[in-house]
Amino acid sequence: MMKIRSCLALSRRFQSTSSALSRNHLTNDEIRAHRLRIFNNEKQVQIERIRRVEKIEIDVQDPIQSTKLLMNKNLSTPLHCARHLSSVLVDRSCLALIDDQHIWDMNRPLERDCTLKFLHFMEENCEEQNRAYWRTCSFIIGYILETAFKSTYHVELCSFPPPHFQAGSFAYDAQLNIGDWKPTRDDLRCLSVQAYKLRDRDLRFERLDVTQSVAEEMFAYDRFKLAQIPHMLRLVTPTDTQPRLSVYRMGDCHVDITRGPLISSTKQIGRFEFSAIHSIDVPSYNETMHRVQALSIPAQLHLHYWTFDYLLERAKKKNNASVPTLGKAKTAEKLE
Amino acid sequence: MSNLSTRTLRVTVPHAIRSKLVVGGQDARHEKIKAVLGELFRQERIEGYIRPYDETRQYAERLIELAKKYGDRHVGTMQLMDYWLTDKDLIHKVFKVFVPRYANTIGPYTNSYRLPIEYGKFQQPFKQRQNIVLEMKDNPYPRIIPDPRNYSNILSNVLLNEARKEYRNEKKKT
Repeated sequence: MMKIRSCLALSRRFQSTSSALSRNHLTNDEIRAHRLRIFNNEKQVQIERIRRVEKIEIDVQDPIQSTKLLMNKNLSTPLHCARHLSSVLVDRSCLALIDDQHIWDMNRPLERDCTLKFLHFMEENCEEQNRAYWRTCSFIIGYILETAFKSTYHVELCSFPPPHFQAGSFAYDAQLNIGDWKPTRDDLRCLSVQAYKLRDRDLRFERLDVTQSVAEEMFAYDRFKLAQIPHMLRLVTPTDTQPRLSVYRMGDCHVDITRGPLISSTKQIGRFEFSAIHSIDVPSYNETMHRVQALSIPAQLHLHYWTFDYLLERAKKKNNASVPTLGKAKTAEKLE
Repeated sequence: MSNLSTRTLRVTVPHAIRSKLVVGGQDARHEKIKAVLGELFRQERIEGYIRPYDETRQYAERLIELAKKYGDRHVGTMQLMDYWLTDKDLIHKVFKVFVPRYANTIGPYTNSYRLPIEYGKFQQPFKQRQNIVLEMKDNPYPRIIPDPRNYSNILSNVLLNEARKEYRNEKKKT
């Protein structure tokens, strides 16, 4: 897909505290397959923990129709509730609102009796939806970086900053191990095409809360992620014995750590264009990484191509959102 | 009746030649208008053929304007009300409900909206009727034309606002 590059100039390696397995002999695809395998196993384990199927009553409040549904505890998701009601809700809702307080993913199982509302991108307050959308798009950049380059190049993903609209673009920080490579317009367009292919595949985003040991096994080959894991652990529910980490999987392709809710499926992506790749200095890891920036609009919103290109020009400027930093072990919210 | 001064009527009066409302002369016409007036004041939102309804709109406005100006002690106003409103409890409604509701507004106190013409509804295919909805303003029903929605928080508008701010800052600097 990409033209052959000249020899790589490897930067100094970050010595992480936990032992990252050597990945020199593995390609990005194999590492990705390893992560997915661990995710599948853990998901199987968690499903088998549900002994009995209990019922919960969900009160769906929608301006068009409100009904009470009887769904399965820890198995049914808001998407299943939407499927009972109408296909419009299935297609356009990206997040769910539980009890008017908690933002919930569409594909995350419901745990107790509650009132449910579906959120889409064209409401009065869609701050949460916008943030979730850009968070999802950053997640997708991670996947594209891992899969777009030839297997001779090792891409190490680091993390992505929280969505910040003032910067005009969302980004993913990664160690591309490519040396001095300035992407041309065609290279960026090749990367953007990968995102459109994802949209056609209509992949769902599933969440899993894993413990530290499982997370360390999952990201055994990713030294940056291993360093972040201790900082991202938090207690999910008050009754939980161990702090957990939220991990999201897209379809059956990619697994990544992120805290916040993601949108329902890749079908809701509208335009997605990579804008620029800048190099940033990351003092926490003692390295110089690449910040890959892109711009995207959901499919529900319509924007003329001239206006989008104008925003894209703005997105090419260097995004000044926070550089990946490892905070103290107790404060976990530096990274997302 | 001569001591009642006229104000300007704030509804449209078309120049087109009006067709006859009903057969039967002025009395029948008055009956028709009284019927429509009664329905309008009682139910506050009615639909019907445009000719009688548009004409009673002017009568409704006039009655409310008189009620506002002269109050219910005035002999002439009460005589008019008595003639035009056959249900006497509607006279109470005009003074007790409509006058305080429209005390601070000047303009027309009724709205009319055109409804789509439904072809083929009548037996003769050429006889189409333009129906309208006549409603008192500020009535308790939900609005016919909904409020304009606020789209300033959707993602494309948020990004455009940021871009606009940046452009203005750049211009200020140079």
